[in-house]
Amino acid sequence: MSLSQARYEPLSQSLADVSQALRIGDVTSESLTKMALDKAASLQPKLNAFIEIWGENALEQARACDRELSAGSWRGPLHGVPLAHKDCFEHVGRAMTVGSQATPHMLPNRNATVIERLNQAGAVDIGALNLSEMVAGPTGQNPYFGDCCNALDTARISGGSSSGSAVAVASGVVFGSLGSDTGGSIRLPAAMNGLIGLKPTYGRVSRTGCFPRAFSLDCVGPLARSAQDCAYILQAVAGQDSRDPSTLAASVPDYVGGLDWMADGSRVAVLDVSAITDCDAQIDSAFADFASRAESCFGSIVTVASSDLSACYVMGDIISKVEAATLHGQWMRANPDHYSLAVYSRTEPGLHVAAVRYLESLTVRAKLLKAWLDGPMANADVLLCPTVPVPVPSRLEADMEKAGRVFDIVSNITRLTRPFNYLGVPVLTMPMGRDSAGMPMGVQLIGRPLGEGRLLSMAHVLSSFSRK
Amino acid sequence: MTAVNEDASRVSLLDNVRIAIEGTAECLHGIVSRASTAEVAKEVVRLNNEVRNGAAGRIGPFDQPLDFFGALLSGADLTNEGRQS
Repeated sequence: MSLSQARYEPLSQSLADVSQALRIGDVTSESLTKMALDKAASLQPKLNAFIEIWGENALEQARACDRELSAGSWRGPLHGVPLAHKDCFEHVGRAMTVGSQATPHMLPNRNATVIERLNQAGAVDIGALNLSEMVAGPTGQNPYFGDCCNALDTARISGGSSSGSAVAVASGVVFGSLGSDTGGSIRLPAAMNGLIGLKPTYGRVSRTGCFPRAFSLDCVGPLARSAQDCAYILQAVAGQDSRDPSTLAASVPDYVGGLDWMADGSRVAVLDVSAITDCDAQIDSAFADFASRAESCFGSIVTVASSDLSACYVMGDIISKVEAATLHGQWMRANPDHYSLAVYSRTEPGLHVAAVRYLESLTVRAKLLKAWLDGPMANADVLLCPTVPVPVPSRLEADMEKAGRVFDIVSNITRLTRPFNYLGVPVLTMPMGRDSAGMPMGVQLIGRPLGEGRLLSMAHVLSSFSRK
Repeated sequence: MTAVNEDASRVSLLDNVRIAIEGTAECLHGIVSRASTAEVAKEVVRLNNEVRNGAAGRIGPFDQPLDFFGALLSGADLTNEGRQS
C-alpha cells in the first residue's frame, strides 16, 4: 500500500519507517508534526501528558526540516521526526517547570546538551512533558500540574517520574522521548505503559541542563516503542560532553548497526531477587515465560544471586535523599508550602542522616560494582529480573499524598530498579506480557557498564521472537 | 539481648532520633518538619543502620568515591569493540 493512501497512519509507525517516509517525501515533517500536535491536544484532557504544547515553534522547526530536505540535506534518521521530552531539560528562553511550584520557573539561556544534540540531528520538539514533581516520585502523580494518566487505563498510574514521556509515546503522539532516571524513573513508566525504556550507564549520556534529583545517580535515556527506535535516539545523544565532567571518556558504538549482531553469543542469567522482594504471582509467571523465550534465543540460562542487592538499594536511597536535600533545603526553608507532602517528606530525611553514611555509600561504590561484576555477572553478559514487582496500581492505591504512605509506596515500586542506579550499570526494560487486567508487565535486561548496544540488540531479538 | 529488650532498645533509639530531629530541624536546617517526625526518624534510622552495616569492613585507607569511574570503564562490556567479554 502506498504511504499516501488513506489508511496510512504515520503516527503509529516506527521511527525507522517514518524516517524513511520523510526522507523519500511520502510525508512532510510539517504534516507529521501537525498530526502529532493535533493528537497531543486531543488526548490532553484525558491523559495530561503535556505541561505545554509548543505548536507554532514545532511547526517552524518542521518547516525548516522540510526546506533542508528539499535542498538535498538530510541530517540523519531523526530528521523531521516529532519528539517531546520530560520538562526537566533546559531549552533556551523557555520556562522549565520541573513539575513544581517551588522554584521560580527557570528561564534558561542554554539548551541542555541532549536537546542540543537532538536539534542538531533534526528532531522536532513538540512540547514539554508532564513529570513527577521535582523529578521525584515513581507514580506519575503531580499535585500541581495534575496526574499524568496511564495510556492504557486512565484509572491507573502512569509510573514516574518520566510519566509524560511514557504516556506521550505509548499513546502514539510522538515517536520517542527522553526521560531521566535516578531510581527507576525511565524504567517504571516505560514498563507500566508497555514500552522500551533504557537507563544508560552512569556517564554515558550528558546531564548538562537536565534538572537533577541526585547528581551521583541521575541518567538520561530514551523511551520508545521499539528497541530500534531507542537506538536511534541514544545514538544521537550519547557520548562525552565537555560541559559534564561526569561523562565517560568512551567511544560511542554504532547502536543502530549493532542491533542485528551485538547480542550474538550473549550469556544470559536470571537474577534471583527473592531476598529483596516478593513479586506478585502474575509477575512471576510472566517472567518465567519470558526467561523461557530468552533461553530459546540465547541458550541455557542459569539463576544467579547477589547478597549485596539490599545494600545497593539503601545506598542508592541515601545518596538520592542527601543530594536532593542539598539542593532543595534552600527552597524547603523559603517556601515549604510549595512542596507536596510526598516530596517534602521524602527529601527531609536527607537533611538528618549522618554525613559519614552518605560518604560511606559513595566510597564503597567501586567495590560493590566490582563485586557485582565478579559475582552474579562473572559468567553472564545480561541478567534478567522483573521491572516492577507488582501489577500497575490504581491512582487511588498509589496516592502518596495520603499521610504516612509515601515511604512504603516508593520502596515497593522501586525495589527492583534503584539498586542498578547505585551500581551505575545500563538497564533496559521491555514488555514481557499483560496481566489479568490487560496492563503491561516489564522485564529488566541488566548489562555490564557501557553495554547498551548489547541490551538494545537483545531486546530487538526478543521483541521479534515474541511477535512470532 | 532478649526480644523484649531488643524492641525496647529500638523504640528508645527511634524516640531519641525523633527528639533530636524535632530539636534540630529548625535550628540546624531552618525547616519545620511537615511529615510526622516519627516517620522521618524511622527512615533516618533505617538508612543509617543499613548503610553502616553494608559498608562495614569494605572501606580501606585508599578508597575514594572517584574510584567508581575507573570501575565502570574497566568493567565495560567488550561487545562495543566487536569482541565478547
